[in-house]
Amino acid sequence: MKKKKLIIVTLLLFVVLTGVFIFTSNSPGPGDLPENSAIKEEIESTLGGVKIDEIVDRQQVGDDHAFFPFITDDGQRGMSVWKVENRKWTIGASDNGGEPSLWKIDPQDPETFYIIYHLDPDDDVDKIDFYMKRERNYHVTGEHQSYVPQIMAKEEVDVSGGYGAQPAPKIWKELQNQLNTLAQPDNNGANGLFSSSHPNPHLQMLYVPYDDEGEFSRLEQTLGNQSFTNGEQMDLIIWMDPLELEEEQIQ
Amino acid sequence: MVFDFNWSWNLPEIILQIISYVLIISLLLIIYKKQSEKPHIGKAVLAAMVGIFSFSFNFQFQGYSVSLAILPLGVGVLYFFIKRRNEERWRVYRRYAWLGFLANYVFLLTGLLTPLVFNLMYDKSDPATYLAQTDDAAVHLTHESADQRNLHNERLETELENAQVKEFDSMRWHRQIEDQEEKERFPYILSGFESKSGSDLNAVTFVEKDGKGLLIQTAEDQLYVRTEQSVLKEGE
Repeated sequence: MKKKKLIIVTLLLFVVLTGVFIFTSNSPGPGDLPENSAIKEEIESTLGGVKIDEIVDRQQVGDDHAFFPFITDDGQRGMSVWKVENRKWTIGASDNGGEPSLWKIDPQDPETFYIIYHLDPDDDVDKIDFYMKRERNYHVTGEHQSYVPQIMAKEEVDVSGGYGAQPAPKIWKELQNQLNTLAQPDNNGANGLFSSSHPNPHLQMLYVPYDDEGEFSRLEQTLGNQSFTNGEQMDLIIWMDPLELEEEQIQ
Repeated sequence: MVFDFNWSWNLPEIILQIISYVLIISLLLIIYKKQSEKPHIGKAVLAAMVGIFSFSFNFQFQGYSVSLAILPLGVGVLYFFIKRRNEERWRVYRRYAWLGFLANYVFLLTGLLTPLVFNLMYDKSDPATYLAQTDDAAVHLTHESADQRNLHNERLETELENAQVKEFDSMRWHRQIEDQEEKERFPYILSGFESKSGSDLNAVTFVEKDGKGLLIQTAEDQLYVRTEQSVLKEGE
C-alpha cells in the first residue's frame, strides 16, 4: 500500500516538473518591440504633461532591453529605456531630456552598462569626450604610505548622429571590475554583500562636448526637467569644465 | 536577480578545512569502534551534527571570521530529549553530541591557523605573489596626460624577478602634480595578470609614466616597485 502511494506521488511530481520545464522553455518570448503608439502612450502617462510628437528610433539592446529616443510636441529631445518583465515589454525609465547618461542594466555588472544620449540639434554638438574620473589622493599613517593615482580615462564618441545607445567604454569596465575586486573583502565576510551595493563611490562619469569646429561647447537645449523610473537605472553623466583638462595637463 | 557564486580558491583555507573534517570524522569512527553497544551510524552522525549547534562568539582574526563556542546548545537539546525518555540511550549518544560541540574548537583552531599557514605559503610583501602570471597582461591608458603605450610582456616578466620594493613619499608625489610641476605619475593600469594560484589575492597595478615603476595596490597595502628597464614598448 505504502509503495503504491510512493509511486503515484513520484509520478505526479515528474509530470508536474516536466510540465513546468516545457512551459518555461517553450513559452513564447516577449516578441517584437511594442508599437510606437503604445510606447508613446506609456511614456506620456509616466511623464506628466509631456506630449510626444515622434519616436525617433527603436533600438533593441541585447535580448530583453530597448532604447527609444523621442521628440516631444515642443521639440524637446528625450529618451526612454524598456525591459522585458514577465515576458512582456515594460517601460524601464524615461526622461524628457537627452543629456548623456550611463544606463546600468545590471548595476552590479559593468558589462551591461551603456552610454545613452539624445542631443538637441540646436546645441550643435558633434563630438563628446567622456571621462571616468577618480580624484588623486595620498595617505600617510605612521610608516605606511599610499598614493592614489588620479584616473582620467577618456572615450571619444562621435555624436553627430544625434542619439545613441552604445556599450560603455572597455576601459571603464576594466576599471570598475578591477576596483570592485579590492572593494570586496577577500574572505566571505559579512560585508561582502553590502560593499558590492556601493561599487566605487569615488568614480565619477563626466563629459566634455565639442562643436563641429572642435571648440568646447555646452548642452543647453538638451537638458530635461522630468524623469521617471520603473527600476531601470540611468545615471546622469556630469558636464566637466574644460578648465579642468588644462589643470590636469591634458591636451 | 543573478546569484554570483564567487568561487575563491584560498588553498590554505581549503587544506585546513579538509584536515579538520578528516580529524572530526576519524574521531567519530574511533568512538564508534570502541563502543560495545553501538547506535545506528547515521543516528550517531546526526547526534554529532546537532551537537555542533552552539551559542558562540564571532570575531575576525586577520581577515578570517572565526567563532568561539560558549554554550553547547545542541548537546543540551539532545540531553533533554534523549535522557528524559531513556537514560541508557543517552549514554550511547552522549559522546557523539559532545564530539559535535568539540568540532567547534577544531574549526576555531584551523581558523586561527589559516593566516599563519597562508603566510608560510605566500609572501604578501613580494610583488611576484600578485603578478605571478603575466603572459596575457596588457596596459591601458587611465590618464590622458600620457600617450597610449603597449606592454613589453617578456621584459615585465624578467624585470619582476629582480625587482626592488622601494620606499616612496606619497605626499611629495601628490604635491608635485597638484603644483603642475609634473604630470600624473601613474597614467597606466595593468590588466590580465593573475596572482599566485591558490592565494585568492587581488591587486590593482598602476604603471609609472616612464615604464619603470609599478604601484601595486592590494587589499591591505601598497607596494612600489622600481625596475631597471621600462616595461613599456617604445612608441604606440
